[in-house]
Amino acid sequence: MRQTMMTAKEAGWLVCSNCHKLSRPVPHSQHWRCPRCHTRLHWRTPNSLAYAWALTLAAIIMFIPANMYPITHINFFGSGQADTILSGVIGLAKAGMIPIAAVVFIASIAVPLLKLVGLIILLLSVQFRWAMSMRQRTVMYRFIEWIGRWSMLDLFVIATLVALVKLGNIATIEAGIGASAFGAVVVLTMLAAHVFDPRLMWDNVALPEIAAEIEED
Amino acid sequence: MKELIACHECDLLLPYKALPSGTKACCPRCGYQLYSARNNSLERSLALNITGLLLYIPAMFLPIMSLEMLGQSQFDTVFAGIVTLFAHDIWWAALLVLFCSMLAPLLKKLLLFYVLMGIKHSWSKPPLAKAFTWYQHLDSWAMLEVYMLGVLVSVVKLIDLAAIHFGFGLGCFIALMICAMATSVVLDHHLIWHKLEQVPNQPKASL
Repeated sequence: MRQTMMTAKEAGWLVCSNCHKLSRPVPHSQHWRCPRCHTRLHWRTPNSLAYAWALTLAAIIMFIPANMYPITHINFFGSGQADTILSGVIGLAKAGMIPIAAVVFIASIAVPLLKLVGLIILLLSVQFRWAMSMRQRTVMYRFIEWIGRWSMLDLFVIATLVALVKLGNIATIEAGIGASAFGAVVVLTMLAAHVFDPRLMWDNVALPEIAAEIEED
Repeated sequence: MKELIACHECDLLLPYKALPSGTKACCPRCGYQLYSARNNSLERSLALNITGLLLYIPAMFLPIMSLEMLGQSQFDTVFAGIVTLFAHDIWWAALLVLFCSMLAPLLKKLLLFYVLMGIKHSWSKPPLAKAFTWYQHLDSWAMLEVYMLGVLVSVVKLIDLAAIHFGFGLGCFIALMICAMATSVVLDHHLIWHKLEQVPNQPKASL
């Protein structure tokens, strides 16, 4: 059996964003609901780009206090020290803990930055219909979706350290306000990736004509 | 008529085919994993889920590790970390850690337990569908494995400064994390929705 492939939208099927069931739009109605799970149905996530832009910009703004303000205050035998994300990484590297410095650097600095840059590129490419390799875009989108949660690492490290290191005058670690800003960056970028509808990337791309092996393999 | 499915990532329309167990179907255009087939997916999910529920309280409230320095010692639990963050007035970070390490994993387990039991005993469909919807929304916000990496990083940071002893809670936490990861591998969302479709709407329910 050989036929040109179609998207669900071209074939007139609405896809449920929640349970992935296909259903036909009810005529003379504007508010379609999934017959299986009752979720509102849309051809594409409404205002996906606008929401994703807003959340990405908010994340970029929060990225500034997240890196300027200290995330921890360390008190070690009376001498206090406030650490930002970057100075913490440098401290670890100077103390010779290179692998752990690399992990923290990747999770707290490189990944959030890459995510923001990646989101901006994805959004620009859809907004202005850039002719960009679909493979690259798909890899980028999946990376952003998948990696998002791992940026929470630094917050969990702080949560563990503050509970563990509270030994009165000997040593204490307290969390700083930068931790909250950093958490906001993580949440905002995760939400931006959630709200971005990847089908928009594919809508401007020609469909393959290789139905044969999927039909009968 | 043949059952059709659409790729959730690129909207390609495809025919649904039953798979031999242990295999998965991927979109030919974008490579997205459409669905996978597992043997006894429902029973295994339920077993893992109950195990996870049993492990939850010891994992969250028993000491993960303790630190000893100059005769003083202090132990750490997941819960204590959150309480300390609240005590330092870092509200937003505290709420986030609370949600991602304690609330989301617990809610996910309770919701999944309810859905699996509901399918087994044919309870009314609308609340079951709602519960599984919430389960899917919470999916990426439960971050036990990220927390685990956080514990590891903390240990490496402290190990030169003080003596660290691991507690029973750590074992429970690791087991809980493994249960959660195994559940997400074994759970077949396509199958759950398919089963939910067959659950009857009870008389009063409107859907």
